[in-house]
Amino acid sequence: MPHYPEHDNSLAFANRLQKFFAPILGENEAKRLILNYCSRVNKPPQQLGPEDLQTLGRYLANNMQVFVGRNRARHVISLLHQQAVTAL
Amino acid sequence: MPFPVILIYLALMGFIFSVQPFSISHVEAFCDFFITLFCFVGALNLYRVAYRYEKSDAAHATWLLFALGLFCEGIGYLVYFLYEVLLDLYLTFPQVADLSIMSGMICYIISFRIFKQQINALDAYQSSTRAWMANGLFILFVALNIIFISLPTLSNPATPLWLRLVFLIYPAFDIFLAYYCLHLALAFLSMGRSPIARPWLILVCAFALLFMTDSWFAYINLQGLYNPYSLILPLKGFAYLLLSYASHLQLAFIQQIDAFEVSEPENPPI
Repeated sequence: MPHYPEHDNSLAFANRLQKFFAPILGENEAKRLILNYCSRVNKPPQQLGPEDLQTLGRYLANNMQVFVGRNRARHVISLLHQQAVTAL
Repeated sequence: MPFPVILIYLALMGFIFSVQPFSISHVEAFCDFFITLFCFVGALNLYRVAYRYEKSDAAHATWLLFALGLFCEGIGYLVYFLYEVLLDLYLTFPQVADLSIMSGMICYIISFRIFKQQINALDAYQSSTRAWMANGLFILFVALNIIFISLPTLSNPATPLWLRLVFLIYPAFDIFLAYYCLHLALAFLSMGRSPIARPWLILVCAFALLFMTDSWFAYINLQGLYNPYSLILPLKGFAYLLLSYASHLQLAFIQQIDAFEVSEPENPPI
């Protein structure tokens, strides 16, 4: 599995995303999907930022909805957006 | 079905099959009772999972078809059980009850197909290495199935040709189940200890156990070595219990996601 260093400050955003999804996807699976997204958009995880939330959310919702259903996946992603708005 | 129930079942079967208190004719009815019970309980639990999804979700159709399949199997085993207990009659394949069991297997195969199509549409779960491994194991299983079950069945001159072909129906279903189980199991195993994959992995393992016990039964039955005190029946019961356990885990997981909002403040801001 590809990995990124845990204590790199430039990865704070990716690490927070990973922590957010960990209860649902598990730490490793969350990391794997985030890295998959990064390779899909051709962007290193260090460059992930709030501007990626929309497309990343859609990507993760697509992958989750097979297991948990469309509405539940959307619910999780809407929580992600809510948290992002709160943080801003 | 909580995990302690599985442990109690295993302990009970361990005791019964080591002490052997029943006659050979009664142990089959005893095991069929548990298999029938677990099929109906499992069907109800799987239906409860399907009910928690929107009707437009593919997962709804998947879990519903698993529930329907298990219900059909339950009816088939109930017929066998009633014959054994009420009429003291021990039926051998093929019987009308097998039509119900086969309908159940068709439901499973359709359900797996729907789910695998969904997985195939996602690039995150694609891996050529895993696909090659699954195909390799599948080819090995098909080869063993042909060598030890299909060919000996087809080349038995004592049985009419039509009956030989009927005898091949279960092995054919097992081949289909093996294909889906191997592909999905390897995909789920690659997800590690992910809570999202755990119920599905247990579900697939339960089906894998079912097709393996079916193949084992077909082989030793062909050799004339079948004995109800072999471990086939309790293992089948164990597989049906695992199906219930998978639905129990999936329900718990769905509840965890539905309550995700509550735990929101614990999450760090994005």
